[in-house]
Amino acid sequence: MIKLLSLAIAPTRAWTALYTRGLLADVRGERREEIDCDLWEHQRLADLEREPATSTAAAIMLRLIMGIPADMTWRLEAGSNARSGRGTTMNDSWTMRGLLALALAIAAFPAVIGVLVAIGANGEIDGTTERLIKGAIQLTIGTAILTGLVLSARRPGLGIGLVAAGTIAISVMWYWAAMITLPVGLGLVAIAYFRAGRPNWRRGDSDLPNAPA
Amino acid sequence: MRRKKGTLLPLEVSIMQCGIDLAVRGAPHFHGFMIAKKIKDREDAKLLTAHGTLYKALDRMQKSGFLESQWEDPLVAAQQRRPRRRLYHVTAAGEAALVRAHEAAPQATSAQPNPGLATP
Repeated sequence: MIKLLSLAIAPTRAWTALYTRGLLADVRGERREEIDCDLWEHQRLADLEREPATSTAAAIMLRLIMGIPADMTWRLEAGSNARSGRGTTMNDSWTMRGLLALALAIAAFPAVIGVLVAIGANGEIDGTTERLIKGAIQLTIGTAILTGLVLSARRPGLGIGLVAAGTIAISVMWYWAAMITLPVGLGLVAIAYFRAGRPNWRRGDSDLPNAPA
Repeated sequence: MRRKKGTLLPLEVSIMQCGIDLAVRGAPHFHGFMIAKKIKDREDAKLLTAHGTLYKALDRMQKSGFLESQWEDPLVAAQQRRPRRRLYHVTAAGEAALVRAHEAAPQATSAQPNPGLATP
């Protein structure tokens, strides 16, 4: 039971740590503490009501997933408030660079699979045309996600759009792995989204300490 | 979402109504999970309000002056071996905004605010 609940609680905490990263210490600390408290109260009530662990874990995961858009908009608002006081954001940090590197490695996966399929290295598809088409589609999707991640800082709309479209496409194509592709894809979209929020993205931010003159 | 200053979104109305219900029952302070559970029970919803949606709304309502919050004494939390709670309560401005929301759309809200708590 504890293991099952941990599977739901750990991503919630990890997500909270991610989207609060780079905020002012008090804002970040308060949000994390509040989510910790919520998770604790949720578990305690579930224990008292003898709710099955699967239901509690599912409820926590749903609360996490359904709240992601609100978390992201809150983060952008909180980030812009913080930027008015100082110039550092999550996007300048080594953590963000590490996350971007990880995201690029993940995004390269469908592209590599596409190449392997196209050259017949996986040996699953006999027909040459079908193999080439499937390989090309996966290569295109992987390339779109990679391009989107790279572009997200300079062209937010196009970058986020490419990552989101690529994620949807790969989730449809690899529908049997949707439990993995959807959350991972959501993570990639989140990274593109946060990259898009860097200080020099918006015009009129030239009063920031680290903005170009 | 753009909206007129001082007006409430449906979730904010729910938070306010539940907060006032709790106050009437002798519990004027509530924390995030408590209000999410109360909303779920009151509206007979299948799911609890999502974390992001709930805490963003609470944050927004605080900034609008409809709610106030304070962190509980860490010693109390430590004694009970649980994380510290952030305790919210509905302000007079919040009650007034709820009254306005009921007046503006009486059919959209099922319960009336407690008139005894509303401060002009």
